[in-house]
Amino acid sequence: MADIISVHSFRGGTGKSNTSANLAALYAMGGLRVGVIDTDIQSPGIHVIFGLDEDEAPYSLNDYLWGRCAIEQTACDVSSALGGACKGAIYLIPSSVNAADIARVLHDGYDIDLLSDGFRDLIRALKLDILVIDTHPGLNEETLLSIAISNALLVVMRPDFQDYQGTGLTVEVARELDVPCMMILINKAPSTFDLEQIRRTVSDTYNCPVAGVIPHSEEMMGLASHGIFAVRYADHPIVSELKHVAMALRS
Amino acid sequence: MWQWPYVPEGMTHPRRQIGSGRPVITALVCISVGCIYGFANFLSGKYYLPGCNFAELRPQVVLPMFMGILYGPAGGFVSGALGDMLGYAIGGKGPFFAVHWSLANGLMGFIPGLARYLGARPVDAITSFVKLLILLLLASSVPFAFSTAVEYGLGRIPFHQALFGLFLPIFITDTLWAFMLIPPMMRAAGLLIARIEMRTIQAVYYLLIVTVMATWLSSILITMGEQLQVEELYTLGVVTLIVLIIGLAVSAVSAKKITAPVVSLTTLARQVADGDYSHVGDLAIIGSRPDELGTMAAVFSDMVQSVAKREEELKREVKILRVRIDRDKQTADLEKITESDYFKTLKQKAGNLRRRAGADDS
Repeated sequence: MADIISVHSFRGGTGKSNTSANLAALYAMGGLRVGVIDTDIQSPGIHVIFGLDEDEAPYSLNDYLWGRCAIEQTACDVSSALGGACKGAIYLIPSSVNAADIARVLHDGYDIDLLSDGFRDLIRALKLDILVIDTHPGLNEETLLSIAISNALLVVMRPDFQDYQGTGLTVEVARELDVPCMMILINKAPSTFDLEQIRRTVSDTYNCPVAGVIPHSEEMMGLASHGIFAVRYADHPIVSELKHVAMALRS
Repeated sequence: MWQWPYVPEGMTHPRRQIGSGRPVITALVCISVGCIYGFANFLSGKYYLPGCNFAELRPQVVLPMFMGILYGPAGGFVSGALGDMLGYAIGGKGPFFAVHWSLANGLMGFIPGLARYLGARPVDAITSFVKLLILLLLASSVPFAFSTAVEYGLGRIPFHQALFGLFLPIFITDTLWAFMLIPPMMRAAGLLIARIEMRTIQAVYYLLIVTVMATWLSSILITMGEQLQVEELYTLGVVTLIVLIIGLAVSAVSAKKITAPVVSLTTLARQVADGDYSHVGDLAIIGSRPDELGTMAAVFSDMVQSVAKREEELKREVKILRVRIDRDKQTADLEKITESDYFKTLKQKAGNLRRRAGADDS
């Protein structure tokens, strides 16, 4: 049985894609076969973190949704992005960064059921242990579908007024959809905060467990999405916090 | 990068290398200046001071002193001693005509050379300026006290002549030349930095020294007209010198009083800029002054305290996270989503979807 984990944030800029990539990397470093799917069709980005050039991917998620190919044809093996640390495998299903493709999705839409079939087929074809879904911010139809289909949902937020209301809404929506495991990740917490106080306040406010609190990190900013933090700084305290998150999402 | 104290870069950078450059060039400069000094000694050799047959009116004494300040004791010594010997040589008396006087001229360059070791170079405050003046005073007195004592010890001249015909004429005249000429020379070489203390004392200083110099030179002329006794002239000179030194001391103290609050305010402003508010209490003493500086210190102190308070409040505000949610809005937003047909269908299918996607991998 495979786990489907959605990583979502109501607003952009929370570090959602980075979190997805690092969680996927940690699972693969633990010997699992992992799929990462970029459903952020309107503003794709996770391929950059895995160092995948747009031209290297023959097909994107868009091609599958328009019936041009099978879902497994869109998967790119990006295990090499982890260097020698990858004991399992990582497959990335990128979204097209082509402006015309993006415009077409926005204009024409697509059959949303294809997406759920795609998740299922992908897990079967690549014999995945875990599928990590990097969702689009907000609560549009494909995001709702991703949440509904997931065994676990990780809601990423910053300790920032802009994120509080939307996070609350996401948590309530996920509750309506009976997601079996839901957790909050607080990202980019400024060093002036007491991390434990943040954890308590957030879990009390949303009545939802907090999987981890990640302090703002100069090293992570310095990496600027060029590479995977968990690989580059394997011994960093942030990485051990992310390992706890990864374990919590599977239990 | 902004530095404190602020000194324009072009002003000091090339000058800082004076005296720390290549030794060959240093030696050449000191020897050349020594030659100029010697030639000037030869020229001035005919114009003796009243009552003297050896001491002259020699503004050029500042040359070895300045070489000492620029290149250190050795440089000052070389140009002083060499110049003196050269003066005798050009005059046809041979370089070793008066070895103890050549030695004294060397020492006159040597003593100001100690400036760099005693904090008198560069001159940037009243303390270092006073140190410089003391060195110049010593350079004009100690070496010539020595050479005069040698003359007297050898029995060449009586005591009265040694005092009024050698030591006092040289001491008074050389001191005044040095006091008048060395500071502007150092200013030109970038070794006198016009910070507020120096700016405050400079005007008084030049006024005093130029007046005294004028008085002294006219006294010499009057004596030459034989309207004044030689003894009276040099006693007058000593008294003038003492008055000058007292005047300088008083102006130094009063300048310090004006500038000290500005200096400590500047230091404090820098500390505040670096985030250190702990010394603001030190301003209380300045703040109690009845003048404008007192007002400035009091205002500055108030300002810093309110800034510190505001910053402290801001820190406390940030440290505790408060999460506020508009629950009514959330309920309304949630209803908008859950009421849609898509969501209703999705909710029905959700469990089934999860089972199909995850478990159905047989």
